[in-house]
Amino acid sequence: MKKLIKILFKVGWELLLIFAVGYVIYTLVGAF
Amino acid sequence: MERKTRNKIYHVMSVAFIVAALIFSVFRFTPVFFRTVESVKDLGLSLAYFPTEFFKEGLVKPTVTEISPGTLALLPITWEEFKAGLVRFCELFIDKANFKYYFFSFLLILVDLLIVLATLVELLAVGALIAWVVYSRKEKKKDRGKAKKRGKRKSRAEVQSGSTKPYEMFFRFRCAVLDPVVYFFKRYKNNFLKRWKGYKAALILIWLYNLNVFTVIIEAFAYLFYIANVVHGFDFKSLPIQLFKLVLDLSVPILFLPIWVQAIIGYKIFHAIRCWIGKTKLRAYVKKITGWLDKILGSIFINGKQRARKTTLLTVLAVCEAIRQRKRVKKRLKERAKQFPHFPWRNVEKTVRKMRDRHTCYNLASTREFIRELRGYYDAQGDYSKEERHRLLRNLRRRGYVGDNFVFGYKFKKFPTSYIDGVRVVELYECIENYARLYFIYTTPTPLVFGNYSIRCDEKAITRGNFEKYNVDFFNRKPENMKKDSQYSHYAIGDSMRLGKLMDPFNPYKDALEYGVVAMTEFEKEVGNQHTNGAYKADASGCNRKNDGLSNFLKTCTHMATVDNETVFRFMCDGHRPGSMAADYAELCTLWRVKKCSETKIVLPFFGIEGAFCEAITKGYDWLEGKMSFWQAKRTLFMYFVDVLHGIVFRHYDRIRKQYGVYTTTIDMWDGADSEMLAKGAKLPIPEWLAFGDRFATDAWGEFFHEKSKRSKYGINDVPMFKDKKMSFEEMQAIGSHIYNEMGELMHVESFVKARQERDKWLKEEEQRKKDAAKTKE
Repeated sequence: MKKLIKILFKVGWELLLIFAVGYVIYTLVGAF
Repeated sequence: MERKTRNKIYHVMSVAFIVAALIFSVFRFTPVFFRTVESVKDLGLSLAYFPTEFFKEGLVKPTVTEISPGTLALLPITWEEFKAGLVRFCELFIDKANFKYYFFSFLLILVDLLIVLATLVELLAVGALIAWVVYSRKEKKKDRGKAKKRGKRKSRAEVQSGSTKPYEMFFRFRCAVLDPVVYFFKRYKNNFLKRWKGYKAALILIWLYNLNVFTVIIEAFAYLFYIANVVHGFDFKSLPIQLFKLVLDLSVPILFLPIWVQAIIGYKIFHAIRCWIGKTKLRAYVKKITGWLDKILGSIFINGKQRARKTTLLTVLAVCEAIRQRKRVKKRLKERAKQFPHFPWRNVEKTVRKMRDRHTCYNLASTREFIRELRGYYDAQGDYSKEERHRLLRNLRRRGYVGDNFVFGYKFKKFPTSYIDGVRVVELYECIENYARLYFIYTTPTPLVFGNYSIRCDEKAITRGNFEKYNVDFFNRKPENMKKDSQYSHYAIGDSMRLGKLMDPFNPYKDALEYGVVAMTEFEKEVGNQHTNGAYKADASGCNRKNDGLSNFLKTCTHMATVDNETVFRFMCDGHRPGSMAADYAELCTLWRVKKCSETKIVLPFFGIEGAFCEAITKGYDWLEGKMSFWQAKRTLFMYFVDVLHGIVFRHYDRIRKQYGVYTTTIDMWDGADSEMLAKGAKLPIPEWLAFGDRFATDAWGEFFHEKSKRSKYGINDVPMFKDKKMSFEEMQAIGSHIYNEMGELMHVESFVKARQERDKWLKEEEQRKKDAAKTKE
């Protein structure tokens, strides 16, 4: 269970990072 | 296909590929030509602009900051446009509607991905179901039926070695068509193109041109020469145009390559970057270990429970200590060289290398003796005639000496022969002696590690230049070159560490240990303690644990291995508990108790989603494979494809896990002499690539037990098992335990008492027999 939570946390964190980077690129493309 | 015919086809293929690439250059990548010409012009003008601007302003007008007329400006090219774009970006970044739209698009992509995954799982499930229903039971029944008809049952092995018809058909197709095609292209890539490098070079150059790589590089240099001119300072305002040009140039490969090729290239670049970050982390862990070794002085004893990875830690420390020693020696060496900057140090190095190769200088002592002999000649050179001097130098050169006088060719009349370092006067020959000995240690061609077990050492000397460098980067090695690049540790010969009685006084290597790292596993069993050594006598004629003088050696070994105030020696050992070791040894060491080891953590960045995906695939595969191997008698095509697909994922995951896996060991550290706690619960990360990359055998003593088991005529299945949960007296007796025998005798259990009497009787008879035999001999 602990391991699963750890994995989910890691996956969530990386998804969040991808989301953030994607948002920056998306807005950049929109702005320029 | 014959080799000659194949080679002809390969030549035709290569020419066809080149012609195709050229056709692409002419028809598909026509604008690339104009961009390349433009970039060459930009570079030429920037090169001319760089020097001329110092003498006369405006003589050359660089064109790197301009875009060619007719180019559609899709991006801002002026500084004002760029600034306006930035403002728009800030506004959009905090815009609610923009965020909402992006958020839902992101969710939709995630949902799409999940749908794809679900479809794949569904397909797999259907395939598994079909394979299970069609083949498992049917095959078994069929086999049984055939066996019955033949009148005998088919053996399990015969049934399992078979495969289903679709699998056999596919296998035949693979052998006849797929494999030859694959090998044909593999041979072309791996053999033919390696031999005919011209084809490969031509193809690479044409495609680099086609994909606009040359333009990007030339433009980068053109801009570099433009901004390198300091007359006008850094031209920030020209940046948007450069970005625009870069995007324009990169759009050529982006628009040409299919999306899946772009995805692969993108993943490769991303993977290379994260591998670099991961390796940087691993190197930082090695630095941490070496940092600990810098702080902890003297000998180290690592203790802990079985399977606590004590020997792993010992091995890692030994390897890191060897690197540390070489680094420190090199630093000291360079410091010494700075004291006499005009001295031809290369000659000393050449002399040491030559004499070591000729075995005229083979250790620190012989090196020192040689330098002192040379000093003797130098001091007495005024007394020699020209012929004597010539003869002496000739003899020295025969031994490997390099130099035209007795100071390695140093012009001692012109340059100083002493150096004042602020507190003392350093004589030239003292410096040479230390330099030669330090250089001897630094360039030791074999590992600096000695052990009572084998440790793989892979410090690689780079001898291309004059002064050797050592590649100590463990994380940039290819496993396939491991054997070639590695050497194993030296024997830690016991007699080389004994100052008292020797086990083998005629051992030729007994005085060869001078410097290095000594790693001894299970050391407390080697030396024993007061209780276990009670039977030994200090004045015995043979060597034993009380008279071998090992503890005295460990106390004084630093005198042996100190060169130029740098101690190049460390003793490290491991064992289960310090109490099993004589106090003399335990108090000498810093004691490290390995309390626990964490689970392996992968330090490769952004591996979370990929790792979870790989784990899920592996779990699913294990489940499916478990079911299929239980139910299926024959190998199915479905399972073959599942194996192939899972193999790709598994190999990738396995390699990452082994290369970037790090476990943390928790250590309590205290001083053996006064039990002062030096660190409690300190964490030391151990890279598994370093520790388990064929570094040592965890079962180093396994050969003894193998020999013991080899003698046995019985195995686990022959050892009797208990009949019930309650033991009978016979069963207790059969175990052969001290306590059971004592209890049996105390309680007057007949079988135990009888057994005891029989044992005593047998012992008495045995003693009598021995006595009789001795008398007969007399």
